[in-house]
Amino acid sequence: MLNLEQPEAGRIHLAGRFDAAQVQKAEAFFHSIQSSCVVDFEGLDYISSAGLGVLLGTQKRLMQTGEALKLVNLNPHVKNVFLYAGFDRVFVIE
Amino acid sequence: MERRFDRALSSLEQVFAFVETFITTAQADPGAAFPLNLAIEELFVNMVNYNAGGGDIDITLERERNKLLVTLHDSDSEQYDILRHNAPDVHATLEDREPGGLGIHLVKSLMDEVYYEYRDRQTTIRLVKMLPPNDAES
Repeated sequence: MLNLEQPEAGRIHLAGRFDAAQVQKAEAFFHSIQSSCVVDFEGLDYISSAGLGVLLGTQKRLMQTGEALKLVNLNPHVKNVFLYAGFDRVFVIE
Repeated sequence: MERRFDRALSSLEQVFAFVETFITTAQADPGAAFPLNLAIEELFVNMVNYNAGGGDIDITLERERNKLLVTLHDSDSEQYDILRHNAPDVHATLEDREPGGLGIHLVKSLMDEVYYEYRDRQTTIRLVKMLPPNDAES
């Protein structure tokens, strides 16, 4: 199960598991994001390429208008997935 | 341990639970659950998405000393050799990045060995994940 929340403007909280079964729900959520956001991964235990795809699509769309997602608080396993995918070149990860 | 799963994305939750049970039963490093889950999800999802007409998918998990062995078996499938799959350019800029192809790249990155077999419409993919040396079975 994946939980997506926007507790305040400019900040998104992810929690749970971002797997292929969550793509539809996540795409609907990220589709509504129109400006730069910090995405807090603190509660996110897991991500697969399906989750990476949703974030990549969002980043591409935002960058067209000079906006971007910044990713924070990734656990070491999740961070490794971003590194193996070369996504540290696509996102600012803190 | 062997289990059969419906060919559907909704099976993923049961697949993850199966991996968790295996890790506990095999007394393996809990840190191995993440790469195992990820490798199995990527391959399972490919089987679901690119071979929608097939039957169930079998997953076998075994421990052999300091190795975790994963087998995914699809008994009615088209041939797609994941070992011949072209790796995505992970150094490309954002504009040139595509999400496709990342899954198999991640499987190869996270697993120590990957084997593909195809015969009589049956696909068998075997994975080996080495456990850290201090996790050797006593």
